[in-house]
Amino acid sequence: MKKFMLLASIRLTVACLFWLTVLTFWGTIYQVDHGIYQAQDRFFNSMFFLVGFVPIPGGMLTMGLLFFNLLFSFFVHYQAGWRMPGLMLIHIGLMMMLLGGFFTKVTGIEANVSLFEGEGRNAAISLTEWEISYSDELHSVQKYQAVDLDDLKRGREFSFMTMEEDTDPEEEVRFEVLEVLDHARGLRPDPSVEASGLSPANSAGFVALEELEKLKNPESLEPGVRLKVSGVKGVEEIVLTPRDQRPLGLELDDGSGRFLMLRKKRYELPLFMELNDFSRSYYPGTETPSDYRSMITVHLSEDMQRHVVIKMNEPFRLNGWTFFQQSFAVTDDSEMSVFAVTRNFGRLIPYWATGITSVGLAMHFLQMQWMQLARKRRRKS
Amino acid sequence: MKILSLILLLGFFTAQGAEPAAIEQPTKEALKDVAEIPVLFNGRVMPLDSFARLHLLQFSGRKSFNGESAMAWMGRLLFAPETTENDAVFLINHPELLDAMDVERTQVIEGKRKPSTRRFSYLHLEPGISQLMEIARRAQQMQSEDNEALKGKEFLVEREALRVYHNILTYRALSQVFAYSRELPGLVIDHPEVREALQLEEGDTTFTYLDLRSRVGGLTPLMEQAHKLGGPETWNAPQQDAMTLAQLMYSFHVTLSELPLTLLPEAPHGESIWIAPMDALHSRDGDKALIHAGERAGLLAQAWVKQDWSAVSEESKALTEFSRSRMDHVRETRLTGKEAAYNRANYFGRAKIFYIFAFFLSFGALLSGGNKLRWAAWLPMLIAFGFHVSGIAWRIYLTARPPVTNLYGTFLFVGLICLLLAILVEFFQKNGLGIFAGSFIALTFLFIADRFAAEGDTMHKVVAVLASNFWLSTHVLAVTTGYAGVWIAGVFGHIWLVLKLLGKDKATLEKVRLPLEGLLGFGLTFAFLGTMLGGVWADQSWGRFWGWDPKENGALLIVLWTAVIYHARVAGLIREIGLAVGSIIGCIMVMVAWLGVNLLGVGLHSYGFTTAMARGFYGYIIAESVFIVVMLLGLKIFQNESK
Repeated sequence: MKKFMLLASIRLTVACLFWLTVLTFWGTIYQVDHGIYQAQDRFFNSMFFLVGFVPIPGGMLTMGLLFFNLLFSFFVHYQAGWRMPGLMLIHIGLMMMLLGGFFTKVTGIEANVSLFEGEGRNAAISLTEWEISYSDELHSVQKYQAVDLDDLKRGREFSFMTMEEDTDPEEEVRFEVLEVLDHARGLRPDPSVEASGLSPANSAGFVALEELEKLKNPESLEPGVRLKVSGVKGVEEIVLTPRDQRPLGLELDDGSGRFLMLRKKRYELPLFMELNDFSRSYYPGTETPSDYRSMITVHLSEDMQRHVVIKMNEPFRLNGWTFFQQSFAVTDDSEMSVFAVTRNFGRLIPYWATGITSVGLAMHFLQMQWMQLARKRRRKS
Repeated sequence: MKILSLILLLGFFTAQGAEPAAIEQPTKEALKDVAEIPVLFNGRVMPLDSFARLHLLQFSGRKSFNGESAMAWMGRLLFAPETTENDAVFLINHPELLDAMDVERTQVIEGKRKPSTRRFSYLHLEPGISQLMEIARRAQQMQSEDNEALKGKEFLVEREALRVYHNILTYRALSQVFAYSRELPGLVIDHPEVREALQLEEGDTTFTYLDLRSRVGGLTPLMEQAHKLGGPETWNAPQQDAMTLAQLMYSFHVTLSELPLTLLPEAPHGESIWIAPMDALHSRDGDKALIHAGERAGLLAQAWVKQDWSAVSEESKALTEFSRSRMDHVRETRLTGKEAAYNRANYFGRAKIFYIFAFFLSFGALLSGGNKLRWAAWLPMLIAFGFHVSGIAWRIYLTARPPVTNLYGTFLFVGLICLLLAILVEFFQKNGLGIFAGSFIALTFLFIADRFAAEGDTMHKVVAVLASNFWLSTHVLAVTTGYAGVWIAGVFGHIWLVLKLLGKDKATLEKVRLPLEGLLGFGLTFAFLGTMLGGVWADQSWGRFWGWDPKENGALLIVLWTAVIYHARVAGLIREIGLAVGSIIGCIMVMVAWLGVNLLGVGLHSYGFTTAMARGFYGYIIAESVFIVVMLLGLKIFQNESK
C-alpha cells in the first residue's frame, strides 16, 4: 500500500513534470548541433541516457512513471472525487495521450513512396529502417525473404528458407552476425598486404567495415553488416553495405543462385498506386508554392480502381494507411512526386485524449472561478 | 543629330549632379488615387501605397521620410528620381561599412554636417558603390557556397553590405521604371530628313522614349537604304542618324525592361502575369489595351513632374480601373483602395497613443487609490481597444485569413487577448490594476510588432502547408491565446512581488494573487488545447502527431511549466512567492516558445530572425532573471528586518 501511495504521490507528479520540462528544454537545445532525430533518441525515446558516466532518466522512463503516477493517483485520490469532474477528465485524457504515444511508437510505420509520372508502386520504403533481402531473382520485387537490421545483434544466428513454391520450406542458408554498424563505410583490400585465406564476399569489393561518426539526419545513415555464412560455395564471410549498388550473388551447395542485399526496408501497401499527373502552382512572380497536388489512380484489386487527388493538408487514407503529399522533384523531362506514407492504427487516440483533457481543463477552470466568486460573495455577505 | 552621352542615358539618373527642380507635395486627392493603383509584389496584389511603405521601411527602417508620407516619397522616386538623390534614406547600422566603401561617416544634410546620423543619401554613398558591390559580390559567393558562412559576428559588415547593396539596386531600378516618359538627355534631332521621317513638328526639341517609340517606324526607309549600302562609312548623314537613333531606342528598351514595379496585368482574365509599364509598351501579343495602359502610366509620370494633380488623379484612376477590369477574379485587386485606407488609418499607431494615456492614468489611480482617475483611465483604454480591434478586423478582411499568420500578427493578437483578460480582471477587481497591466502589455506588444513589421510585408502570402484557414484559426489562435493567459499571469506575478516588497497588506496582495492563479489556469487550458491541436494539424499534414520539433517543444514547455506550478502549489512545495516567481518564469517560457525557438534555426517552424531581435530576446531573459534575483534578495532582507 505504501508503494501505491508513493506512486500516487503528487510530489512524484511534480518531479516527473519538472524533469520532463528539463528534458524538453535540453532536448530542444541539443537539436542545434545533433539534429532532431538524435535528440529524439537520446532524450525522449530512451529509458536512460548517459552524461559522461552518469545515467540520467530519459523521456520514456519519465513519461512511463508519469503514466503510473496518474493511474494510481486516480484510485488513491479520486475515490470521492466526483466533485472535481474536470480533474478526473484531465487525468483520464492525459493517460490516454501517453498510452497513445506509446502505442504509436511501438506499432507505427513511417515510410515514403516516390513516383514519376506514369509510374506505379505497391510498396513503401522506410526512411530509417534497413533490411537484408534474400531472393532467387536479381531484382527481387515480388518474391523475397527479408530480415530487419534492427533485429540483428552481434552473435545472432538466422537463416533463409528454400524458395521453390511447390516444396516444403527448409533451411538452406545459415548466417551468423559478426558485426553491425549504424553508420559505416566499406573498405577495399590493402594492395600492399598479401591476403591470407578467403576474402569476405561483397559485390563492390569491400572486405571490411569502418565505423563512422553518426550523422544528424538518420535518413542519411548508411549501416554496414558483416556475416558468417554456411551453405554457400566458396564463401565463408559476407560484407554488406548500401554502397554495394547491386545484390551479392551466392551459389548454394545445390548449384542454384541466390541474391543478398542490404537495403531500406520495404512495406507492402494494401493498394497499387500510379501517378497520373503532378501539378504545382506558385504565387505570381515568386517561387513560393501556393499549392501542389498529385493525381493518382489507386488500384485496390484487379477490377477495382479509382482516381484520387492528394494535396497539401489533404491526405488520402485507406485501412489505417495514410498518404501525404510530401515533396516533389523536377527533372528535365518528368516530374516526381514524393508521398509520406504512415500506418498508425492508434491515430485517433491523441485526438480523443486532446478532446477529453481540454474539456476537463475548461470544466476545472470554470469550476474554480465559480467557487472563487462564490467565496468572495460569501465573504461580502 | 547629337547624342551627348549614350552612357548617361543608360546609366542612372537623367540629370545626375544637376540641381533638381523642386516639386510641390501632391494634393491629398491625387495622392489617394495614386496610392490605390494595384501592384503585384511578393506574390500578392497590393496598393502602390503598401509597396511604397514596404520599400521605404526596407531602405530606411522608417515609415515616412522627414514627415513626408511613404507614398509621396515613392512618387518622387518613381516619377522625379533626381529629387530623391539627397534624401538620407539608406540605413547603415554598421559604420564600418562606410569605411570599407571609402565613404565619409558624416554627411552634409541641408547645409549642416551630421556626424551621428545612420541614414545616408544616394549621392553620399555613390562614390563607394563600386567597393560596396565588390564586398557584396564576395559575400554572396561565400553564402552560395555555404549558407551559414556569413553567420559569425566577424561578418557583420559583409551581411550589412549585402543588405545595403540590395537596397541601392532596388532604389536605382525603381528610379528607372518611368524613365521612358522622361526627356532623353542630350538628344538633338536636327537633320530635316530625319525629322520629317519621324513626323516631328518645328517646335519639338525635347524627346522622350514614349514619344519616339510610336514614330520610330518612320525611319524604316532610311535604315533599309543604310543596310543596302553596307558599312557605316558608306552612310550619309540622315542614314547615320536613323541607325544611331534606332540603336539607342533598342538599347534603352533592352536595358530598362523587366524593372521591379509590376504594375499592369498582362493577361486579360487569365494567369496572374504582371509586368512593368515600359514592358507593356512592347506587348508580345500586340495587346492594344495593355500598350495603351503603358502609355497612360507614362502620362501619369509626366503629369506628376508637371504638378498637374488633376491629371495625376485621372491617370491613376484609369490604371486602377484597367487592372481591376483584367483581374476582377483576384480579390486583392478589388481591395487596393481599402488596403490603402487601412494604411492611412494607422489603427495601431493611434491605439498606442491611447494606451499610453490609459497606462499613466491607471498608474495614478493605483498610487492614489482614487476612483476618479480609475474611471478616467477606462476611456482611453476603450478607445485604444477600439482601434486595436479595428486594425485586426481590417487585417482579417483584407487577407481573408485568421489574424495570426506571422510573428507580427501574433503580437497584435496576443496583445489584444491580454487586454481583454485585463479588462475582465478590472471588471471584478475594480482597482485599476487590470487597466494598468492590460494597457502596459498591449502597448509593449504593439511596439514589438513594429519591429517585426520592419521585416517586410505583414500581409504576405503563406506557404502551401499553412494555407489552411481551419487550422490557422484553431491551433494558432488557441496557442496564442494560451501565450496571452500565461503572459498576463506573469505580469501579475511581477506586480505581486513588487507589492510584497513594498510591504503591502495581505488583502492587497490577494487582489493580485487571485487573478494570477485564474489567468495561469486560463493560459494552461488554451496552451494545452493549442499545442494538441498543433499535433492534430501535424498529423493531418505530415502524418505524425508529435515529432519533438522545437516549436512543438516550446509550446509543451509552457504547458509543462504551468502544470509544475499548479502541482507544486497543491503539494505545498511552493507558496505565494513561489507562485509569483513561477509565473514570471512562465513569461520566459512563453518567450522561448514564441521567439526563442526561431533562434535555433532547426525544425519545421524555423522562421527568419534578425540579430537585433536575438539581442532583444537574450536581453529580456537576463532582465527577468535579474528581476527575480533582486526581488527574492529584497524579500529575504525585508523578512529578516521584520523578524
